[in-house]
This record gives sequence, C-alpha cells and structure tokens, in this order.
Amino acid sequence: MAELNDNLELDLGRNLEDDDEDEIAVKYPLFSKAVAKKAEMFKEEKGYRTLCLVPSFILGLCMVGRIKRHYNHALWFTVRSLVDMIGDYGGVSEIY
Amino acid sequence: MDCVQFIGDFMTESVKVLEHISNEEQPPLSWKDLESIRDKFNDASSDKKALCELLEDMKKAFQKRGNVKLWKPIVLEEIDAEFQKHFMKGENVTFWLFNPEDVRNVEAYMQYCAGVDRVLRTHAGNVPKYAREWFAFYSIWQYHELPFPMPLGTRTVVGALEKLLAQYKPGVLEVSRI
Repeated sequence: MAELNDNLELDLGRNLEDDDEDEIAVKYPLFSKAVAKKAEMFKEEKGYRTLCLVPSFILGLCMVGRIKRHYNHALWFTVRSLVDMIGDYGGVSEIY
Repeated sequence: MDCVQFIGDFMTESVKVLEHISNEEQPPLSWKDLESIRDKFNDASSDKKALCELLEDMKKAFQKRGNVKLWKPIVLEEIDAEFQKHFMKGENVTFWLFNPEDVRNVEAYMQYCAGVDRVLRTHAGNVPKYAREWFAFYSIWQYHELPFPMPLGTRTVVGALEKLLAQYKPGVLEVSRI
C-alpha cells in the first residue's frame, strides 16, 4: 500500500484533478500505473489482486489511507473484509 | 454504478471534503452568518435564491484544499462518535440514514452538526484553523444540491454505507442498470 500511497501523493501534488474528469487514469496517472503493476505482482495472491482490479475502490482505500490512524481501526479495514465486499457485490474490472 | 464503485467513490469524496474543511484561507462569511443561513435553508418559506447568492463567495473559496493530515485521530474519533450517537442504534444503522424522504434523517443531521461543531470547539487549537466555518458551509446540504444530508465520511459512516448497500443490494443494482 505504501507504494500506492506515495504515487497518489505525487499525483495529488500535481493538481491534475478536474471535477469534470471522471477517468481515474487521467486524474491519477502515476497511481493508476502503480495499481496495475501491483495487480500483476499479486497474480497469485487473490486478496490483494482483487482489490487492485477495482480502480475506484482501491483509490478510495488509498484516499482514506492518507489518514489511516482513523480508518485502520474500522472493522471493515482489513483485506479479508474488503475482498468480501467486492465478492458480495461483484464489479471486478481489468480495464485501466 | 455498482456498489463497490459507489463505496470507493464515497471514500474518495469523504477525504476530499475533509481537505476542503482543512482549507486555511479565511472564509468570506463568519460562523454566525453561516449558521443563520443554514437555519433559513430549513425554513420552507425562505427565499432560496437569495440565500444561494449569499453563499457564492463561500463556494469559490471552499474549492481550495488544505492538508488533510491536520486532522487528529482523537478529533475524527469524536466526530465519528457523533454519527454513532445520532444515526446508529447499537451496532445497527438506522434505516432512515441517507433517506431523503424521512424527517428523522434531517432532524438527526441537525443534532449531528451541533455535535460536530461542539467537537471542533472543544479541540479548537487542534483542528484546522477555519474548520468550524467550512464545516458549517459544508453542512448546508440543500445548497450543495445533495439529495439528503451527508455526514462527514468518518470510519463508521463508511461501514454504515456498506451495511445499507448490502441490505438494499438488489434495489441498488436495479437502479444502476437503468
């Protein structure tokens, strides 16, 4: 996660965010590349890979990770619970 | 939009709102002015167009972002406790949370806002400089064209959203297909 967070901070520092832009890869290019790399890296590890394959979800997680001392005490803030959420709802995408 | 994407977007937006409330620029309106405008928004007979005009400069200034890391865990913890106090019954989420039609939601939100303001006053030296004013502005949900009041996305709120989506999944999926 640290690598993803670092790239997200770099993207945020570049002020590329535009409220009219929806595409995560355009708003957060370095972060998106890092997520794709992680998904590849965790090919064998289902849990992390599942998270990496839902871009808006992993972005949300990294965003709240910026104040992780608050969120990491939440019952839902574990890889297992998060993967369960995705499993429950479906919606995995391989498109970046 | 599927449920997972919705939760992801909610988390992202929640942190962005905290960034906007961390904005260290002095707001154009005072907290008292904002409170008075918020009360008027809740009055059905008020002139909404005139109220919106009063908030124009606030809207522009609110776009700026501050440092989200200025939020201390103890402060977010207490804000989260306000959510639990007004929108949860023990471990369960009240069924009228995020329900635009239910007056209990609006009433609970007003109490929640008063609670959050109390937390911000209690920790005055330990919260972003103009957090009270920016939160008061954010809390005027009708102005932001939100369909219902939206508490700050602290950790229990995210968990509550997930629980509600799990509960109403068939309906949510149906709507997202349309």
